[in-house]
Amino acid sequence: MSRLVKEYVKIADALKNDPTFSHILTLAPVSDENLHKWEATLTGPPETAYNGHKFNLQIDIDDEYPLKPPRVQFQPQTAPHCNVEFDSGRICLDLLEANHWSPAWDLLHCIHAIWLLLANPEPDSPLDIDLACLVRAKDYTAHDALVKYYLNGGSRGPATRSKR
Amino acid sequence: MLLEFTKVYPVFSWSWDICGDDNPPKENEGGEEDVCGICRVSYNGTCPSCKFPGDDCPLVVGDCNHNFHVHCIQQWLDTSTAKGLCPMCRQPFSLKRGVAINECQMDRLAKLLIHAQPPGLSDDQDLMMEQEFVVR
Repeated sequence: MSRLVKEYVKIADALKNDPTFSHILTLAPVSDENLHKWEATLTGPPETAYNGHKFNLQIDIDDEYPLKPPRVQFQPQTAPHCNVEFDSGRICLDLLEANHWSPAWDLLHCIHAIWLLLANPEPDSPLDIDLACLVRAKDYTAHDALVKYYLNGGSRGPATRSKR
Repeated sequence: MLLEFTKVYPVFSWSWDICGDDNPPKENEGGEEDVCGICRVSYNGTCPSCKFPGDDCPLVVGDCNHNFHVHCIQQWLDTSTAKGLCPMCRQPFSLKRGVAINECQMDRLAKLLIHAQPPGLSDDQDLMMEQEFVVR
C-alpha cells in the first residue's frame, strides 16, 4: 500500500510541474480514505478527432498491485475508439493485461499510455469493429467524422434508437 | 591548548554493497535515491512487509544490473504472469555472480526460477531430445 502513497505524491508533483503530462488534468483517488479507487481526466490529443473533448477514466486497484495491473476503464459510453468497448468503456491495451504488465509501470504511465492510444488506434485488436474497419481501410476522414459524431452525442445504432 | 574529551557520540552509516568485482561504483546522477523498481522504496529501506532494514530485508543484484529487495522480486517471480522475467528489462531474472550480498540468496532464488519457467518449455526440451534420438 505504501507504494500507492508514494505514487500519489509523485503524481501530484508531476501533474503540476512536468509538461510531459499536461494532458492529464486530474489523476487522484476518489477519496483520500480509499486508495483503491482512483479517477483521471484526460484532454483529447491535439490534431485528432478527440481534440477539445475531455475523457474520464475509472481506476480500480486491488491489493495485489503492483504485482497485478490496475483496472482502468473509460466512463461508459464516452469514448468512441477502436480499442474501447463503447458501452462499457473497457480498454484493450496490452500493458493493462496481467500477461504483459510489469511492476516497473505505474499509474501515471498507464494513464499516459491510454492518452497515446487515443491518438494511435490499433485496428488489429479492436473492441469497436466499425471504427477499426475504417482505420484498417485508412479512411481517416470517415473515422474522424464518426468519432466526432459519437462524441457529440450521436446515436450508436438500432439498440439505442429503439429506446426513443 | 589542551583538549579534553568528555563525551564521544559515534555515528555510523551503511548501505548495500551492490558492486560486483567487474562493476565499479557509479556516481548517482540527479541526486535522487535509488529505489526498488517494485515497491519504490529506497534500496537501503525495507520492502512493504518488513519493519527493519538490513539483514532482515536484503537487497539482491540481478544479472541485468537491476536491483530489488529480495522479498519484492521473490513475490513478483512467484506470480504466474512474471514468467521468470525482470520487471524492468524483461530479461530472464537471475542473480549476478561475484556480488557478496547475493551469495546467501542464491539457493532461494534458484528454486523459484525453476518453478517460474514457462510451462511449455520442458515439453519442448523433451521433444528436442527425442528428435536428437531419431537423428542418431
